[in-house]
Amino acid sequence: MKRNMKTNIDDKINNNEPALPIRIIPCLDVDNGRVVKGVRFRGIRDAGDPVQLAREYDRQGADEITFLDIGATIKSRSILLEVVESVSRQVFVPLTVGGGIGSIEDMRMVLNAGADKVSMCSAALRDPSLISQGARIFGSQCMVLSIDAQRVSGGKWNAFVSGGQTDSGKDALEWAKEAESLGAGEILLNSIDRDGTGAGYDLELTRRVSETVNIPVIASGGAGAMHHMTEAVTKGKADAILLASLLHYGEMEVKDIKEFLNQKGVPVRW
Amino acid sequence: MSETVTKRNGDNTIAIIDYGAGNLGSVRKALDYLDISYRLAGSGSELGDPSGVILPGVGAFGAAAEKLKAGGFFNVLRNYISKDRPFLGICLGMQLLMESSEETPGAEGLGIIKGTCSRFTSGKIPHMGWNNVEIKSNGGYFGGYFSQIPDNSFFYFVHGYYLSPTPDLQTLIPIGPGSNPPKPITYITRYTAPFIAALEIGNLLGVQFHPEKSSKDGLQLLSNWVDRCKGKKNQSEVTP
Repeated sequence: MKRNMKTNIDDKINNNEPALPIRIIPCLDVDNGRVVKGVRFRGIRDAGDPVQLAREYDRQGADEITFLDIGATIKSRSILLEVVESVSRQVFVPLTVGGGIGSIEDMRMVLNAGADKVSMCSAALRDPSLISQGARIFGSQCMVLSIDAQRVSGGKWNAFVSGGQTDSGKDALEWAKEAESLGAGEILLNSIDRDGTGAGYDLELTRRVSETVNIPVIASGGAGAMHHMTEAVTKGKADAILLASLLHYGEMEVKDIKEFLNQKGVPVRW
Repeated sequence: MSETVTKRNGDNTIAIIDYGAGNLGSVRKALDYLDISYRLAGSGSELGDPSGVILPGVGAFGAAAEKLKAGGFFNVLRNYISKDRPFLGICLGMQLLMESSEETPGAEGLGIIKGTCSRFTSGKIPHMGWNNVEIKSNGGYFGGYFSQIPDNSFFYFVHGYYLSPTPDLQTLIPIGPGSNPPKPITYITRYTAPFIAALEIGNLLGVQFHPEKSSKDGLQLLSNWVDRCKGKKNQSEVTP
């Protein structure tokens, strides 16, 4: 594939093109050290092994890898730390870990194990000072604020907690802005309405958040086809795309997605 | 403690500066993966006679410079670099080679290279993600630091400040024996402003990106730099 050659940066900004290649980030759900719905790639002996999968995604050109701890038990968390240790010894792209992170100590353990970034959702809503403390101690570049957003009346979106179950009452755009001022380095934006539908991202939500903050926005929730991803960038102004279920069924590989984006003029790393 | 220091000083492996402001873990894991031995130097007096020195760096310029100074690294590193010994500065580790940075006015860097680090003023801050490095030529030794890495390859960046490209990069201390100082070579990347992604002056290599987070090409660069350290081993001088 022809390498993306840089054009004049002013042209890019004038044409509303991204200044930086769009990052494609596979997300692996991990429960007790096993990847849930891992893809059976050719050459992978165990589709539930996070290390093998992470290596394969790296080989395929994934720009970063995210692990989500869905185990919700102390045992699951402790095994995840071992997983992060192992992966970080063999895979050399940025690693983000999220799922149940609720304290500075949680963050420290995850970062010490080898993660580059931590992602927080409900805990940050309950105690926003976790963002500022974390940013001060570990650096903003380590802090990803995850927002589960759902449409509410009045053409707005609210931030939800507890895996998208409960309305926090907080406006999602305001929360994103507040998180940025507290020191969040990135926003991981998940649309509850679109998640799992395969009908595409909530483009208006993504665009509004991206225009509200000056930190990168990672789009998540709803991708079912490759053109959804192009739209997330061109219309949603996303800086990165988190992929979960779309990759899990094995129908699409990272390189297919990058090739498609490249053909549509969206800069990607190749 | 002193016994350990004596043992360490006698050993020619690569030393990673451990000054409390670097992403040591990732760098160590990358070297482990490449089967490259190294040791940590926790203070200037522990540096000894390594085959190469790595200065990692994450965080703010001022805080890092202070820690470097407090660890007694300033003169030792300036002396080491002036002898054209193999050196690798990563991210903030490269920025610390400058005199100062807009990030922390008043703070002093190592002052090896003339100038001040600039701040990105447009686009999303920090510059975070993969971007390509214009590698138009490979340096001379063993095919160069970018050996086996194609032109315009992508590396991972996370930074809010940068070294501004200049047609005339000046060093403030002489590097090498003197009569034929190595010519600086710079490699550019473009974000909302063009900046120096990598610079080499003889056996000194500074990279703004994180090779330990840049997958295959990053590991290749680390490996190429280590080859340079091994190549020069026989010519290393005893440090006073």
